[in-house]
Amino acid sequence: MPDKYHIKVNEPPPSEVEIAQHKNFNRVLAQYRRSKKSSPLHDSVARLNKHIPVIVLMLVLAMLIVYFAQLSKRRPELPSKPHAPATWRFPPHALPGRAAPFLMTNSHSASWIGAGGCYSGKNGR
Amino acid sequence: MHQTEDAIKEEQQIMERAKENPEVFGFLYEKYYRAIFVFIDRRTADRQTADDLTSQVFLKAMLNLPKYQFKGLPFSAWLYRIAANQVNEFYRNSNRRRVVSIGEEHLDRLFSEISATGKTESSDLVSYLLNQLDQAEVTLLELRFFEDRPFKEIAFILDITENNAKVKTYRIIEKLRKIAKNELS
Repeated sequence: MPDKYHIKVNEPPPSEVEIAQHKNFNRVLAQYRRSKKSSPLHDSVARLNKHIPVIVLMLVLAMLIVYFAQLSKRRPELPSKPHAPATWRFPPHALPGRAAPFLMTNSHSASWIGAGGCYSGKNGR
Repeated sequence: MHQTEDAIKEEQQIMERAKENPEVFGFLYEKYYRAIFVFIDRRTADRQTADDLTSQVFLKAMLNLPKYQFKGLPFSAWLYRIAANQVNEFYRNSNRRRVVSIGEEHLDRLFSEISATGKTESSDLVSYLLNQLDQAEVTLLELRFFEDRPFKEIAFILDITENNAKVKTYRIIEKLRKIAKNELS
């Protein structure tokens, strides 16, 4: 197995002259100014980066709210009070002031049932 | 680098001024350039790379100065933290083998710590021992044994707690002791 590390024992440190040759604060300052010049946009994007998940979540929520609001607008409103459809007809014997009879049907016959009794329509009662 | 409290506070004031006027940062650059250059050079063994990385360290320090939070440690600790990260990034992005520089006296100290007295070929043994450790363990060993840094500063550089740094160091020593025992027996 090759060595992971290159071990150097008693390696001489760089001399003061060598270090002084590399030292250049003006170079770093120039780099800093260049970075600062281009940084406002970069900073704002970086700041936005942190909030992207929250922004996406809020957008999805807003879209869902708008979608459901549109959906409820399109659906026809249910009547607040039940009323008779246009085709409803009172049976011939129904009188104002009496409870409305209703039609009860089975496979053999149909009967109007109401507070005043039963009207079958067969025997005329 | 050990500093008095007054010196640390004075540095803090310079940093506050440097936030307003970047040219003031030149004072800190002059003060710490040598230390950071040597720190990186020990880990790369290449002067040009050390020069590039040192410039990057100071540039990053300047750019992030507004975010710096004073925790009672000298400014150099923060620079060392940036430098350690910069070196890690350098090795991550290149296929080079990591360099570990050790002084003879530090080697003796490490061997006495792990009770490895049969040091006939000490450089071979240390190479064998270090190759059993991962990168984070070697970094901790470098800071503690090859550079004599206090645990508080090591903890700050590695962004861990002081206790964690102590426990990790103890475990590394134990690990090396076992490996050395097996190797020498």
